[in-house]
Amino acid sequence: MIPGLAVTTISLALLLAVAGVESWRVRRITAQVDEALEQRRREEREEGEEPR
Amino acid sequence: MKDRPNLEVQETHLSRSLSELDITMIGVGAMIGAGIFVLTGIAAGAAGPALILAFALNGLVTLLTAMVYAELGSAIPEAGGGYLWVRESMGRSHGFLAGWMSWFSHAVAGSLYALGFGSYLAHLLRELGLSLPPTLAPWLEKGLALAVLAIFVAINFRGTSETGMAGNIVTFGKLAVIGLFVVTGLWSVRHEAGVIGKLDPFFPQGFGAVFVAMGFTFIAFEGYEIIVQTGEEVREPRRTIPRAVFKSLMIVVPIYILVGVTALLAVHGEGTSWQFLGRYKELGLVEAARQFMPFGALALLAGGLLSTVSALNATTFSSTRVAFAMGRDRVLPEAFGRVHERTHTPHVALGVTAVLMAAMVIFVPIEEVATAADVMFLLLFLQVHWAVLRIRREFGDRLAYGYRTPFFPWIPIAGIALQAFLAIFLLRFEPRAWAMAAGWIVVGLVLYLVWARSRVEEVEEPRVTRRRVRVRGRRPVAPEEGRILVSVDTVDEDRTALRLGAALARSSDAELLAVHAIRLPRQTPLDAADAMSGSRTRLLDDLDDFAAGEEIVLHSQVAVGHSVSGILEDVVEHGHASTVVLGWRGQVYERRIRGSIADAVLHRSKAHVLVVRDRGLAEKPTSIAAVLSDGPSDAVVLDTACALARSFATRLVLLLYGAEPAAEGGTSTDADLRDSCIRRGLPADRMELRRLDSEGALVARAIVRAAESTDLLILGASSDWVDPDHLLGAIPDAVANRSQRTVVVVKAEQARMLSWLQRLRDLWQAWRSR
Repeated sequence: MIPGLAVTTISLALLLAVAGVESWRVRRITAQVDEALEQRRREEREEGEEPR
Repeated sequence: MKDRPNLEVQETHLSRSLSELDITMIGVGAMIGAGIFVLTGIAAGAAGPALILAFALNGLVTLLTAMVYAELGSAIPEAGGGYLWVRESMGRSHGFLAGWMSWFSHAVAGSLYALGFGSYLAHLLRELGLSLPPTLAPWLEKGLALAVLAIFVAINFRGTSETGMAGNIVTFGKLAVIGLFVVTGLWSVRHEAGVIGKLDPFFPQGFGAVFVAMGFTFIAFEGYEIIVQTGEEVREPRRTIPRAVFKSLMIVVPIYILVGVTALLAVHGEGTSWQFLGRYKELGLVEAARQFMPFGALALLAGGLLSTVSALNATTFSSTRVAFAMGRDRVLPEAFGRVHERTHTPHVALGVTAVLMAAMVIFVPIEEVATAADVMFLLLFLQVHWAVLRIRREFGDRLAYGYRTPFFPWIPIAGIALQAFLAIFLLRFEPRAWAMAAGWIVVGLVLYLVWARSRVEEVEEPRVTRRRVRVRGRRPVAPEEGRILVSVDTVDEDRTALRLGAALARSSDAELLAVHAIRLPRQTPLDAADAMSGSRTRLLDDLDDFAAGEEIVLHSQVAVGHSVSGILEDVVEHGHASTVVLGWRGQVYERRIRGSIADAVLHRSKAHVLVVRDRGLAEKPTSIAAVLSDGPSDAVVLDTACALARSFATRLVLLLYGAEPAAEGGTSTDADLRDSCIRRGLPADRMELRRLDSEGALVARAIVRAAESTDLLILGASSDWVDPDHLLGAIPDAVANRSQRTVVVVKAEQARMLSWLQRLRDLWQAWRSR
């Protein structure tokens, strides 16, 4: 019983930790991608192209 | 195509109105529901106390799939979900198989929920004293299942669907029942010595049974499929979808484990607790609650009925949407891709799906239905894992991700391996369900090879990247002055609103944006609006003629969404509108205005709103009357009146009543008002001030009389517009109804606090009307 409960607890803790970290990582990735997109737009504007 | 020099046509705008909280609750509502109520007893019988380990491990396996869904949902946020990604990344032959499986898995899940509902309702009838001979009991359950299925097919055909608030209330209701179950169950055993010993032995059916229970309950973890299907309606989908996917899992998995622990610890009876739960199968939790929870059986039955009903509704339109999408892609007969002329719902796809679900309900036992659904979902997710590998490799540099799966490609590969393992394990548990699933796949393959393949033009370039570039032509830019937005059904019906909008735009040098809002039922994906373009071409021609006549440049936009308030809220925000002009054709004092376009915009808009009660407007108006009454919208009324008087070159009559008007944010004298008008560009000789002496109910009559000699009457919504019996306030409503002139009622952009008060009032009304 004890090993079964221990594995259950560890699995749940792992799930919560990973899901929490990944949820937090979304903001960071979104910010990076937004910045990259903005940079690309700026470059295209400087080159006189219509932004896409 | 007709050349339209005065008309800037922007492409169709799909309205995004759902927030992160909304879709998290949609995911939680889809997961915490029928799966946990119906399957816990059956899974406990299969695995014993290791049921809770099965839940935890399922959470981990699901997390891998959730990462994949979060990545694809953030990068390609559209309604198709798994079917769309497989089709777009691997071509239509693979897409056909994914769609075929997705259609079946959602339909089978719907059959499971219909059967669960039948079983719960039959049990409730028995609780209430209605007993049938044992030979008839199973048929009663199936009959009830078919009846609820018929009801939801009818609901989906009509296009009505639970609103966001009703959906949230159902989800909170389910959570409350489950919360009570856990609290009362654990409370009942707080003094019981050695209660934890009930979990011993932990693996009474062997370790392998854990995998059986995992495969069996997998369906209760697939809320992310529902979350990503809302992709086209979500605000900031790149950020919102992945976060909602993870948050819903973080909420749901601990709850499942708590429910499992409670049921296993708190049940007493013949044999062990898991045997007790297994004996009662889908009613296991009901019988458990009967032992320790006041009115437990009834509460659990009520929770189970709510859950199965909402899950049935969700799966009915999910499966219908997939069949509809396949019909539009021509891999199923084209009739599947048609929408009904009146209800705008995909009626053929819905009808065939209903027949499929009814057949499952009649001929297949509930355990096999559940397993068949699990097998199909596992196989579908396998394909989606494969799709994420291809999409990242081939198009990754061209997609704007909001989330990327870590340790790529190992996590999708691990997901493929684990899900294949679970699917194969289910073969041992319910071989007939596997045979059913395999039979469906074989039928699909034969159908594809014999019929569909010749009809499909394989797409040379997968459409993932093409779809990303949606905006052609001019990209909307934020104007310095906010736009004047006019909501248009047809130019003839809304001509006065358009003229007023054009006059305001001319006088303030703002842009005029005509928006044609199309509301589709939730059962129909938003991009299906592309097929309904007949009336739109005529509208564009009419708008062009109007713009030429007014000598203005008019921007136009078609906005498609599932709710009117959502469409307009979204258009106001993304169209950078500072003022919304919309026509109102009904009697404003009737209660049926609730839920109308005017009502929705007034309550939610972040812009000033002008509601036009149209009784015709002279080609060249000579005078305009505006009422100032120390109301909250006085300043905007004065702005609007001066702008229109300037633009039409007319005289302005200011009608004053009540306390001193507050045109500049404080009380004003006559001289102040004249100065205000002059500052707003209106010469002093073109304005006149009149005081109305009447009070109370006589005020409306006095305003109407005073405005009889003018061409247009403008007044502000009074502060009692929040009263549910009035649209714009008692006096403005009465004036708008009685006046023979066109009346414009102005409501200034509401403060945030008032908006929240409004929401509280909506909540109160929804509760009161239940």
